Amino acid sequence: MRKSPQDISTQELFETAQSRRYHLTQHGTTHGSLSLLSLPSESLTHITSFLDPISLLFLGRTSKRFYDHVKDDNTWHRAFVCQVLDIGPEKDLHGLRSLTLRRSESSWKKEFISRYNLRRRWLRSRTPTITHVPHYASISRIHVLPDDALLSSSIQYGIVARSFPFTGKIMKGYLDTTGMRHGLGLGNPNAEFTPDVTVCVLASEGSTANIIWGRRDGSVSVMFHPRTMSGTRATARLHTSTVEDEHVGAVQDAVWVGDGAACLTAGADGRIKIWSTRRFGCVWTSERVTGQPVDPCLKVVESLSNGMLVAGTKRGSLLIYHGFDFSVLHTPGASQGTVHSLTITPPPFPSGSVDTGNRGVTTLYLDVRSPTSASILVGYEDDPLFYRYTVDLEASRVAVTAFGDPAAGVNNCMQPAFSFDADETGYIVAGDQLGSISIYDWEATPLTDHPVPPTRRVDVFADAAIAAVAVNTSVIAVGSSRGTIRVVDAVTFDALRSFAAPVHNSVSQIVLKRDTLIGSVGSRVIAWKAGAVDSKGGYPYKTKGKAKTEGDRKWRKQIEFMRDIEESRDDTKKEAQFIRQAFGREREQLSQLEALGLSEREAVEYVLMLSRDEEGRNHEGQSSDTPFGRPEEEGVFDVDVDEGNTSSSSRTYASLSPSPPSLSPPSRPSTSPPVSVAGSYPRSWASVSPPTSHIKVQVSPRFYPEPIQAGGLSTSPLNLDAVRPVAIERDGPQFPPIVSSGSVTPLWKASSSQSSGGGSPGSRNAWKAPLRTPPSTSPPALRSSGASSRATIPQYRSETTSDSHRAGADWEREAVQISEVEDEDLRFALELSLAEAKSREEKVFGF
Amino acid sequence: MPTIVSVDDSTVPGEGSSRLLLLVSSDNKHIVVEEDIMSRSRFISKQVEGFEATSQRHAILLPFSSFVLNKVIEYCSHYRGYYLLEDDPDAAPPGRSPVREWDQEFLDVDRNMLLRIIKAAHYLEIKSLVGSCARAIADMIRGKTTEEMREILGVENDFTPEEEHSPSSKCTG
Repeated sequence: MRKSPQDISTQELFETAQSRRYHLTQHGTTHGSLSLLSLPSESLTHITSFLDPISLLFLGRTSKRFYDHVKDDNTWHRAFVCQVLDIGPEKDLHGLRSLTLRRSESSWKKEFISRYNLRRRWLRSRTPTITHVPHYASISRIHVLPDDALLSSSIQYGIVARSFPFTGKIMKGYLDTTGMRHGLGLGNPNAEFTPDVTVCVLASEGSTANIIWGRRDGSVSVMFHPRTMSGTRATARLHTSTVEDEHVGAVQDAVWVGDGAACLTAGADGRIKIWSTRRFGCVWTSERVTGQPVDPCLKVVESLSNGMLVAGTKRGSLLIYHGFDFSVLHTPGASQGTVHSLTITPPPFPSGSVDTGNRGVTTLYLDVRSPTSASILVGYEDDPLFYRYTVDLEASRVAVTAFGDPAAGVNNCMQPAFSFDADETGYIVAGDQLGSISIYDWEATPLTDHPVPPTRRVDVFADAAIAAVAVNTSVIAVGSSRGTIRVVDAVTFDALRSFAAPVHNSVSQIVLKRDTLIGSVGSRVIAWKAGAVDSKGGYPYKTKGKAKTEGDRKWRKQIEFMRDIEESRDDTKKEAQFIRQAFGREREQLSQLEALGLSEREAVEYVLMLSRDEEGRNHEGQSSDTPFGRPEEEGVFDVDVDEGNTSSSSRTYASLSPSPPSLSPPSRPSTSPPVSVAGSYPRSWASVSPPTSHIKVQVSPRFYPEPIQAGGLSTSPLNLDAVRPVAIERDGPQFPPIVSSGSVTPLWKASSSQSSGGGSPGSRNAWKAPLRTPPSTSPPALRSSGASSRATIPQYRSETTSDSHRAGADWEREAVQISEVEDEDLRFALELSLAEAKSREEKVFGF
Repeated sequence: MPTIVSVDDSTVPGEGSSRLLLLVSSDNKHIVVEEDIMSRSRFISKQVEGFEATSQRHAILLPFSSFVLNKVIEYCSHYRGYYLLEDDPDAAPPGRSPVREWDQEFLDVDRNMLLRIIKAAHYLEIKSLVGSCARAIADMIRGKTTEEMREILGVENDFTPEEEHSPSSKCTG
């Protein structure tokens, strides 16, 4: 060994190592077994903070040192903090993470073990969910009695059903307020019901069911049904208010005070009444504010033991009454001393959200700290924020704090978990329309004017709004507007369990006990109890992840499938709505056109025709010698729209367009049963219709190949005679407009040089230009239903009245002009056929 | 006894940006590392501060073998220049972050080695490494029976039979 001045520092180094209880010899060896015991206790705590309770307990049995280590509650505390609160093992308890933590046990060891077991049961228990239908109306409220019995009320029928949700057994008969045999009836809700019930509040005292009934006429009844689940023998005690005591409007809300000694009702008359139930009668009525319109009370909460009650009204005011003497409540005659009142007007609507003008109080909770101060949680209709009013009753001072996130939309439901312990902080669980729950620190003091943001936000449902929330010390249950209920850990917010919707209705209420869940969805009640988790070989968590996924995979698939269907249904609905809005206008237009007997295409053509018509006339005026110089115009000229069947429209037409034989694409379906003559003209058919007002002949050349084979006569028997002459007359190749693309018969090709290959761009025949229908569209349909063919059949029209003579004169004039153009042969043939038709019209319509 | 070597800045080769440290392991191996690699270790940082006060640099003698030391240096050089949340005493509590993949591979060693590394990490005050090792050890013993744990941890049963069967140490879960 070399002696050097550094020896001193070396010595120090070694001493440091020694002081840390390390031995060089021990560390110097790379062979031999090492023991965890040689680790410093901090490292040991670090290691054990990652262990679950069962491993910790087993570790405590390995040796004395570990036994001591495990016995130390700090070890458990660290493990709890690390695993449950998710805080690093060396960090201190942080306020935010432990906001929702509610200790139920005395030591961290017990707390950790009980929480771990409970969580495991929620997560892995395989007990089935039991669904039953207590009555066939939708359930308004449920109340769980001891021994897992359930009362479920229906305001619709005004009945209360009694059932055992974990067996599905339903007691015979319902509790209602009419008749003498409460709960003894047949069980037919249509025979036994209380009409006009607006409020039904359930409570219980032991096995006695306490029910407040409030009716639309303002009367209030209380009912006590002892041993309500024991059978049908017990009769209920029912007290109904006297007429002078009752509310002037409908009863809006009611609450039980204490253990059934008194109750509170709030009515649409804006009054709040306290009722004593020992000798039933109203003991106190709030004074109405005079000189103002009635502001109906919607919600009422009480803390009469602190001499205080709060009501929320439809206009958003809070009415606070305090100074009650709880002890004299039970004596109806006794006067209530001085009751002070305080009114809080609603805050202005938060900027950035739509003020719908609704300020009705929807949520009202009271957190009384002392007889002189209280915090009131208030939620208003359509308001994305909710408010905390801290009221100092002595000084009549009110401090308002807004909570919430305006971007998350309106909170559908709120569930407070106020603190009852100095160590704990109250928190609020709010469920919003986007399917997530937000946790707010109830005692937060805002530093700015902005509303207090949530300390945590957890997405629970991707596809539905939140409809109900329930909280207990270990879990939070959330019900969706589609009937699904999910349970998340109250501290870690891990998803623990999901209950499929029994019906696709909104979850109305969830009741959470330590390890049971009862929820009402529509008319059904689902109940689930976390059973014991069967531990395989003592270590169920060995296969934790695997077993979990395997357990629910099939079930989950089904749920997801159902959800997908629901979702796509909703999407379709939304899309349909959108389309309805977007295309409603178009459809309206179309239907108008329909009423006019036009298709959209025809309408466009009509417009085009009119404009071209005009242009053509201008053209004509400019160069009279070649009025139809351009074949397109010429063709358009011949297209006309028959707007109606009336003579006025005919006249209009006649004066409007001097063009001779007018092609009118739309015929009147009612008056023109078309006849197709296909004998010698495979692609042409003539339609002759006997109109009601005028006698007309309509000849409709087809612009697409008629699928009827040559030689076959497809005629409608009625007008066969009328048409045949026309058809015979056109025994030549001079009928250009009916040339259709592609499938021209040899006859046409051979004889008509101009129109051969009608679809060719070089064709000068404009007749077919605007109205040609591709041959492939639907000739059979047109043939089979003659009436529908109006859309594509241009018609020649002639009239027998004086109009027709005038028109005829016009035709003659036009015929001269036509004869000047290139295809005058064809025109001529056309004229001939029309003349023939004209000459025959008496014969045609003479019968 | 390990050799003590004085390391002077001028005698150390390498860039001027990062000074070198001489670490001496318990099996008398001399390992030269750049200072900023080891800055993750608060123990070494403190030592270096001490050197600066006396303006004399010494070798840092470490009470574990070069095998372990190399492993620790490997860890430190992998995370050289990285910020690790666990090392920050002021940081907010970390979320339930998964074990880093590299750490998992790095700590895929036998139990003795793991225990040595955690001891070394504890000695060197490298919090992130202690945390990773603690997790690895916890993973090893989680879900094991008492006997299996004894075997894994190298612990002998020092209970008397009466103590062992006392209800106080019974598993209530």
